[in-house]
Formats: sequence, structure tokens, C-alpha cells
Amino acid sequence: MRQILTLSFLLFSLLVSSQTTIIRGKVSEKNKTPVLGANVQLLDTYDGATVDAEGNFKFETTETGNYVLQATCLGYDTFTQKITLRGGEILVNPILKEGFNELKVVTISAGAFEASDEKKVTVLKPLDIVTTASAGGDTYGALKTLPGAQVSSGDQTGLFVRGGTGSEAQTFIDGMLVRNPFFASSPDYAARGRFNPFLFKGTVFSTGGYSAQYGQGMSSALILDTQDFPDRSAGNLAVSSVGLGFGQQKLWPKQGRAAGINVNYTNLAPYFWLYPQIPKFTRKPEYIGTEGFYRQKTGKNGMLKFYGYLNAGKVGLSIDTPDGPFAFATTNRNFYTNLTWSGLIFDSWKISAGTSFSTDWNNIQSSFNAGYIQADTFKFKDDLAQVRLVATHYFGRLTALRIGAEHQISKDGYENPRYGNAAIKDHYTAIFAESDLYITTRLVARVGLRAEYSSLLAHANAAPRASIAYKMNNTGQFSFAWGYFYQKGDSLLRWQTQYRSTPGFQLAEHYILNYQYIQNDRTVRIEGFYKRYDHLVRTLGALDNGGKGYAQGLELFYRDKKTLKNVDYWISYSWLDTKRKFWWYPSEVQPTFAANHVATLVMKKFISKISTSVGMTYSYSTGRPYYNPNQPASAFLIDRTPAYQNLSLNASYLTNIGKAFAVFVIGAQNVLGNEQIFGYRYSTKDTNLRMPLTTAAKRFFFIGAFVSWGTDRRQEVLDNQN
Amino acid sequence: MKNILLLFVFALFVTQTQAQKYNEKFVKAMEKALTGMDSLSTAEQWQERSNNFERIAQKEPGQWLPAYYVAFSQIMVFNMEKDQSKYEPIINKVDKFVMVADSLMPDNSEIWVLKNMAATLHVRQNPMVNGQKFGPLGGMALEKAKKLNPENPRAYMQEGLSLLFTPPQWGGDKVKAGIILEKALEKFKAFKPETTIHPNWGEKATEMFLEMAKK
Repeated sequence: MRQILTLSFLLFSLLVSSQTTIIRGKVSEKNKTPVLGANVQLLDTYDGATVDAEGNFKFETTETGNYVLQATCLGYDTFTQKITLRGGEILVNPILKEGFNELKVVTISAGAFEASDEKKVTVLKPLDIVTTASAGGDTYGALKTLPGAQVSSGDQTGLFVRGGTGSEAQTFIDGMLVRNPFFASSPDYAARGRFNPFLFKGTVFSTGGYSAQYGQGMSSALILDTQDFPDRSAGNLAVSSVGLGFGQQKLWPKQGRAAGINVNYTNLAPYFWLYPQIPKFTRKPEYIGTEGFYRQKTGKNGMLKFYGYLNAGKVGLSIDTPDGPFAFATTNRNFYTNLTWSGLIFDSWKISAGTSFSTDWNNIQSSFNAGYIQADTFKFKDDLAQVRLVATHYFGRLTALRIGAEHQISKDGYENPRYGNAAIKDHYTAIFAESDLYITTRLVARVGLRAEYSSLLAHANAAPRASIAYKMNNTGQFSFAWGYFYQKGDSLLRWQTQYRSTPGFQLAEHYILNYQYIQNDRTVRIEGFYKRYDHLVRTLGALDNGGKGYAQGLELFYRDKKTLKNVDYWISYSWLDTKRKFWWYPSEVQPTFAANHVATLVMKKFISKISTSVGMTYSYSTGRPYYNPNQPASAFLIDRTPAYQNLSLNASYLTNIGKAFAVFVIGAQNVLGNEQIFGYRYSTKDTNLRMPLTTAAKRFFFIGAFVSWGTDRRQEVLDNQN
Repeated sequence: MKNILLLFVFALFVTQTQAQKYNEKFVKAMEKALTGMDSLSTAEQWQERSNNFERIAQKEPGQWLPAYYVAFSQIMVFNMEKDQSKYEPIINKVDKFVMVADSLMPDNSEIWVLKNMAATLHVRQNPMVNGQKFGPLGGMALEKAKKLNPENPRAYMQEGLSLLFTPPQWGGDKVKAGIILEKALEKFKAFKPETTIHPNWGEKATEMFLEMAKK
């Protein structure tokens, strides 16, 4: 009994001895700015307080002993401090450090236009690509509205960047080179890109100075990243004036698996019947294609991705030339596959491994001076197989070291009854190392080296690259990029047949200085560049690497989503000064694919009242040089085509049909019917006779409906939501 | 003596299990944080509530209600916040606490209503980019909420609100919104929260929105 008494006494004394401690203080940043709304609390208790407008807090606690005081606020790193409670008053003044914020971290913006939903500091969103009026749903068409790219290249397929030819701009999907990113083209008519823009979650259009991870593009790299895991099972249907499309994707969230397939059929015969074209189409363009993807999550962070594409198409036309009709027909089949795995191993190493295989078959029949197709047939077949491995090691949150290697085996060949058969094969190997070195969050340096070897060229090269970027404040930054960019020559198969030899690597050296300002939906970019070309392939007489040249220019980009309500517009301007001595050019001159001044205005307005988005694109380019055989050698390529103008309009009406999401689109390109002359075709017999190279029709019209719907596996999607 | 001891142990066990659900201090702290929530009108006031609930959530990591209310308070902060640059971190916080609540109490109708509200924030933050994904997700979340508890008034309230504020061409319908909101109000009248600290908000606001729908 006595013991019990003692015990209760002890208990009682414990109770009365519990005292109140007052904790107060001020929560601020290092520079004394109070952090409003911060939450201060004693961990493992209910006690705490919210910071007031002056940054002060005060609360009481009846706990005693050792505790941890914590202060938190959105956008700041958490502050903790050990305190001992024994009554009385405790003064604590937590200082909160601003947390990691993507908006405040510098990125290398020299030469790079990025479109991504994931990153905030980007100039474009993927959706911008499909909503640009002049693009007609083609990624490459949208990129032509950005500074650095030529707009008046309607006679040649490809992107012509900063004085480079179309083949000097390479396309990469998930890191791997794409050999034939464009549909098969007819002479003097540009072809569109093959790949559906919705396949990609991110796009980087580099107009120079790009990463050592990529090679073989002297001017430009277009880096496309395929979508990760889809959100939901869904279907889509497209009906348009040029064809039909159907797609279905399905999700198995529990298994971490997704797969999808698209089928599309394009036939321009009905459109051409309605709206006659200038050349006589002996075979109306017709394509049938299918593509499929597969995604499998592996482990915690890994993902296996497969993409496959198969397309067959044909087109035939007869073009009037001063020497009579020139007939041309092609059937093309293209097969492309891409398999990649990426994931984390050992926590801080990210591995990206990939393999890709593609084949392109082109059967080309052509004839001069005959209105019909005769047996002068070339069967081309290009194969490319490649493997690629990149390992990235992260030091902390930003700094990273990348090392990688790739190997490509390419085989190009043709069969022709008159010229016989020929083929070339190349083993191309590259290794690279690169580091993104963040000295502070405002200053980053990227240093990289790429080494390449080609068995066909029997040459190796080493391409150093470096860039540095400095962010002065939260809105503006400077970056500078420099590097060596090597590329094999084009038409190696033809040179091999014609000269029995293969020229070595060509070189471009880039210097780029960029200023970028992004604030409140306004973007300004100013970029100046100088490029030196060396070892360009020449075919005048002998085949050698004696060509050289330069390109320099200044580019402006301004985008504004804020000033005008619901209006988003951008303006691009490029000034280019370039000369080259290469191919069969007798002297160093401005090449045929380069215009000195190019300007583009893109406008988009969403009218919410009628749920319609309207857009316009206006492009202007000064004339390009063209070859005039009447000029003496001293005046080679001195003539210029007339200036180029193009006004395109589009409108999309967005609506719901039942549970499906539907978009109705109408579009018109070159609405004003401006004559677009890309050059002239001269008679071989009488050089006073010539005919302009122009588009197949003055204007192009498009009308279509796109419907997408989620399938009835909604529950799975929801379960996968978090 | 043995029996008494047993009884004592048993009593201790009972109070323990009850404490897990109805710890008095926890209930008191929650009730205090919930007091006068109807009258809050600024982002700062809601932030303070959010902080209160977050402190409780930290102390009671096994309880779903504090996490639920942190997410709810942050949704209210979003609704009253004018600085658009703050939207994204708020949404991330909402998503995080919805997830916490959902993992502690799976298949709860109230949490699925929150999921609907969270999806709506994504759409509001960037309709062009997020609309296509989060619009349907929000609708599906409401269906699930109704399936789990057909008597949850807040599920009907949110359905009515989305009909009220969606433009007509996107499936919005003022008349239909009115009908659904009336139904929500009926459900509110019949609704009895499980305890004093379970979700029981929205009746007054529904009356107000119903007025708007009728205009």
C-alpha cells in the first residue's frame, strides 16, 4: 500500500512538473525576406504554427525533452533543428533555402529549340507542331517556321539549315539515326516527313552546336523522343480529304504493358480530281502504311519500347520540260523498327540501350522525251542496322557524365539493266563522352568528345564539342557553343560507281552565341553564328575533299502568348550569308538552297466561344540562286529567283461527340496564290528556253476530322492514375 | 486477481484499438482545425488550415483524414490563388496528399471525389495540354466515387459543378447542372457523416451554385 502511495505521488509530481514552453521566432530567407505561409512544427506532436505576414510565429507546447523543430514551405527546402523543451521560452529563427526549381536552372540554349511537355523552360510545346498552319501536320513543316531553316525549299526534300544542304540535317529517334525520315520524293517536289508528330513526347531541333551524343549532321540534328507509357486505352479515327486512318491502343496497367497499332491509307486521286494539278500524274500518289508500338515497364524505373513502321507508296508523274515531257514513277516501300530499353542501375547510372533496323526500297522508272514510262528502271535498296549504348552517371541533381558507343552497318545498292548492279557497305563506329558540369545552378559547361570511324571511308576523326551557358537572373541567359561536326558525303554509291573511290569526312566547325529571355509567356531569342566548312566533296573533274566554305548569320525569335488575349504568335527572322565551293561548283558562291533573308509570322488564336482554334502562317524569303547556263563561269549562280511568299490558314473546331473527343480541321496553304518559283529548268538544246520549277498546284486545301475515344477499360486507367 | 488482471489487460487492449481510430487528442486537434472552415475566404487562411492538417498528418501517419484535408485545403488555396506561377507546386502537393489518403483508405468515395477535383485543377492549369488527359480522368473518378457510395452528396455536387462550368460545346449544360445540383442537395439533407471529423462540407456552396445554375 505504501508502495502504491509512493507511486501515485511520483506520478502526481510528474504531472505537475509538466511545464509549458513557448517557441517563437521568425522564418525568413537568407536575405531576411519573410517566408509567408510557412509551417513550423514540433515533429511527432500536434504543436506548431503558421508564419504570419511579417514572418513571425509563436506557439506553446506542454511537451518536455528533446524534439525536432521543422519549418516547411512550398518551393523551399525543409529546415530542421533539434531543440530541448524544459519550459520557458525558446527563440528559433529558421532560415529557408529556396528549393530546386527547374525554372531557375540554366540550360544550354545555343542552337537548340526544344518542344517538350515535361520541361517547363521550352520555347515550343509538342502541340505547337501540329497546330501551325503552314505545317499541315508535318513536324518538318513546323520547324520551318523557326529561325535558321529555309522556307522556300519547295523543290527539295529536307530541312535546309543555316546554309546546309537537306542531307546535312539528320533525324534521330530515341537517339538512333533515321536514314529515310521523308517519304520518297519526286524530282523537283519536296516530300513530307514520314512520322506522325503524336508519336513523340519531346523534340529538340538543333540548328548547330549539338551534343557529342549525335553525329553525321554537319548542320543540324532533329532529336525526337518517343512517348513513354500512354495514359489510357484509346482509339482514334481520321477521315480527311487525302485519306483514312484508324488506330487503337491498349493498356495493361497491372502488367505495366501497353501496345498500339495504327493503319492509314492515303490517296490523292479524289483531291486531284477535284483540284487539278499542273504536272500530269500518271499514278496518283497513294500510300498504305501501318505502325505499331509496344511498351513494357521493367523493374522500378525501366522501360522497354518498341516501334515498328511499314509503308508502301507509289507516285508517277509527267512533267513538261522545254525538251518535252519527262516521265517519272516510283514505288517505295519503307520498313523501320526501333527497340530501346532505358532504366536505372546501381541507383545513379542511367542506361539507354537501343537497336534499330530499317530498309528502304525504291523502284524508280524515268524517261526523257517520252510521255510514257519505259524500262529505264533503277531498283534502289538501302539498309541500316545499328546498336547504341549510352550510360549516364549523375552527380547530385544536375551534373552528369555520359559515355556511349554506337555502331551502324549500312548497305546501299541498286540494280539496273543497263548500268548493272552495285552496292557499298559501311561499318561506322562512334564513341563519345560528354559531361554537363553545373558549377552553380546558373552556370553550366558541357564538354564532349566524339570519335568516329568509317570502314568505307577508311578514315577516323575526333570531334570535340563544348558549350557554356550562364543565367544572369530568372529570365535571361547567355550561351555559347562550339564544335566540330563531321559527315560522310552524300551519294557515296554514285561516286563509287562513277569514280571508283570514296571521299573522306567533310567538316563543319560551329561557333554560336545565343541570348534567351523567357518570362511570363514571352520569349526572346537572339542568336549569331559562324560556321566554317572544310573538306567538302567536289566532283568537278576529279572526286576529292577540296571543297570549303562558310556560313554566318543572325537570327531573331520572338514569341508572345500574353499581350493579346487568347492569341499566341511568334516571329522568326534569319539573316544568312554563306558561300561554298563544293560539288560541281567552279567557284565559292552562295549555293542554290540558301536565301539571305527569311521571315515567318505564326499566329494562333483560340476562340473559346465557338471552341475553335484559328491559325495563320506567313512566310517570306528573298530569292535563292539558280543555275543559268547562259551565264559565263565568272557569273556562276549569280541569278536569283523571285522572292517567296506563302500565307497559310487553318481552323480547328474542337468538340465532343458523345464520349469521344473530336477535332474538325480545315486548312489552306498559299491562300493568296503567290507564284512560288524555286528555280528554272533549261532546255539542253536551246538555253534560251526555260520553265520555272514551282509547286504542283498554286494552293493546297485540306479538310479532315479526327476522333479519339477512351475505351471502356476506364477502371484500369483510374487505378493507374497515381 | 487473475481475472481482474485479465480484465485490465483486455480493457487496455480495447482502449488501445479504439485509440487508433478515435484517439482523443487526435479528434480534438482535428475538430479544432475544422472549426469555421465555411467562413474562410483567402488563400492565406486556407494555407493556415492546410498547415494545421499537415501537422496532424505528420503526427498521425496512419490516418487518412488529415491527408484528405491537406489536399482539400490546397485545392481551396488553388481556387483563391491569383499567381499562376504557384499553380504547379500546389497541384503537385494536392496529388501527393490525395495519393497518401488513397493508400491509407483505398476505395473511399470521398477520396475519389478529391481525385476528380485534383484532375480539374490540372485542366484549369493548362487546358490545351492537360484537357484531353485529365478531363476524362476526372469524369471517371466521379463515376467511381458514386459507385462506391451512391449517397455521397459531394460526388453529385462536383458533377453538377463540372456541368455548370464546362463550355456547352464541351458537354457543359446549365439545365442539367441544376438538376444534378438539386439531387446533390437532397443527398446533403440525408447525409450523416461517420464522425464529427469525417468530410461534411459543401452543402452551403451547393445551394449557392444551384442559384447560379437557375439564373
